Amino acid sequence: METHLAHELDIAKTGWERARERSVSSLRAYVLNNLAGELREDYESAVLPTLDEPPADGVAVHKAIRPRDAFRWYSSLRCTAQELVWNSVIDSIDRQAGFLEARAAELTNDASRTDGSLELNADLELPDYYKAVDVHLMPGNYEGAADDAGVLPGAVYDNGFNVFAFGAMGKEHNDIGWSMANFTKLRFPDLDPAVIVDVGCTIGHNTLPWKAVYPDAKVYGVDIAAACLRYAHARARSLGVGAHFRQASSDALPFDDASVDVVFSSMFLHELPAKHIARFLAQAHRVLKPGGVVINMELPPNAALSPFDAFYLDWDSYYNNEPFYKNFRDQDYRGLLEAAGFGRDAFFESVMPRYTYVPHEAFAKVVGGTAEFDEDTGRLSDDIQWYGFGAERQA
Amino acid sequence: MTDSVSRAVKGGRAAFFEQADSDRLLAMLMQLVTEHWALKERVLVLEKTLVDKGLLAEGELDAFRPDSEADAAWDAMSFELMQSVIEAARNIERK
Ligand SMILES: C[S@@+](CC[C@H](N)C(=O)[O-])C[C@H]1O[C@@H](n2cnc3c(N)ncnc32)[C@H](O)[C@@H]1O
Repeated sequence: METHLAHELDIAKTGWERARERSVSSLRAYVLNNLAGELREDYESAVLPTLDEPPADGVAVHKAIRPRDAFRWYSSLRCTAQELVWNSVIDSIDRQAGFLEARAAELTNDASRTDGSLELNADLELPDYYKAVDVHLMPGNYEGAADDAGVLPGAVYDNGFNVFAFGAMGKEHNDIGWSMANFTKLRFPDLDPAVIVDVGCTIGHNTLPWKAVYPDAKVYGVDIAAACLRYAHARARSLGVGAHFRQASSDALPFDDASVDVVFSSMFLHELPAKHIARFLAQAHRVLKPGGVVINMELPPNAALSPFDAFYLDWDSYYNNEPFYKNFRDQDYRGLLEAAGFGRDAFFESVMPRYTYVPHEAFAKVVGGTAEFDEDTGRLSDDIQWYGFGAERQA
Repeated sequence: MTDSVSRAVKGGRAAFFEQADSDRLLAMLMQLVTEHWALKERVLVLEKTLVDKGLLAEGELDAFRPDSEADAAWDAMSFELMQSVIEAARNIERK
């Protein structure tokens, strides 16, 4: 797939570079579709029958499957593919660092584009957990290794994501935003949000669809990484979407009590240690108006999955620098929200198809139903389904 | 290839990794990189020759964008290449 970005931070790539990206996307698709399928098959036909008793959970599956060739091939090639994702885009970004900074500055200064805004907070301390590892093997993490990384980490994320997703996460990798915003609109038809906040927004790719679904709302993107926010702001300007980016921690959201209608997060909770998850959800409860909604797109909880599927998603925690991923997924999500102050009955969860890949009616049909988990829930492949959960803030 | 010049080395060469197979694979990989570069240089020569003769504009290949048909076909081809390379190795079993 041609992987150019539909905004002005798109960088020129040589034919060699584009060909390399295609090859990496193919490797990803092969590993995540084919080798993943063989891994499951090997488990079912050669591992499971040899066990004295069926494995109780993902940990037991991991232990039993580790010596298998199918596991080694899948794992080794998945790590290789992950490294190649970033490697395949870094050269072109490096070469055009000057162009990227200049273009971003131009967009940032051009207030005629949108009424969007950017507010950074240089005093914000990055938490230790955040500085400890480069998440999902992404060199420099979200804030960049250099002191003043400008917008480059945002470019690494944006370009890398395109290769990473092999077309399965929507144009501009924004399908999660489209799906969750439309889900919210269908599930809460009376909600007429004035303020929507996307926490852990990175480059705002899943923030902007909220503005399209709720044009009258003021849409904020909050993140701790200045470099990604700079990029997000310039990107939103280029796409002509007025969104407001704020550098802040989810430990202390920069909003007044009862002032927000929707708190949204996507692929965010699993990157936080347990105590920060609890703080974030308590913050969400604090800033939400009565009748407001918190909605998190996430990987499904281990308890809802078969031991094999649980192991399959836990893989990232063991091997893809996602130290908190398993821990989060071992939790009872309803319980997490309850501990943060949300009513037990206010909980909702749903498994849904990708909004921009299916007809609106097909999407609308699942929203009313109960969540049905299967092997495609949260598993990045050509058949992926999103999982979302949250709660309404009661009066 | 002729065999008038010997490729074998009397006395062999040392292996350093825990398993000599790793040294062997590394050696093959380096041989492949060499061959890969030879191909790449040949493409560069072709491109430069075409530009010098006025048959191709400077940068034309880098600006080239496949139409959606070619794009999809090349996706499939690169996927098949991955598949065939990986599957070649995965058939191997100790008997
Ligand atoms: C996996 S990314 C989220 C991706 C994005 N929301 C999406 O939908 O693809 C996690 C983001 O959370 C941010 N982050 C991590 N800890 C944070 C915190 N305590 N407060 C705010 N943002 C944080 C990171 O900088 C990163 O941009």
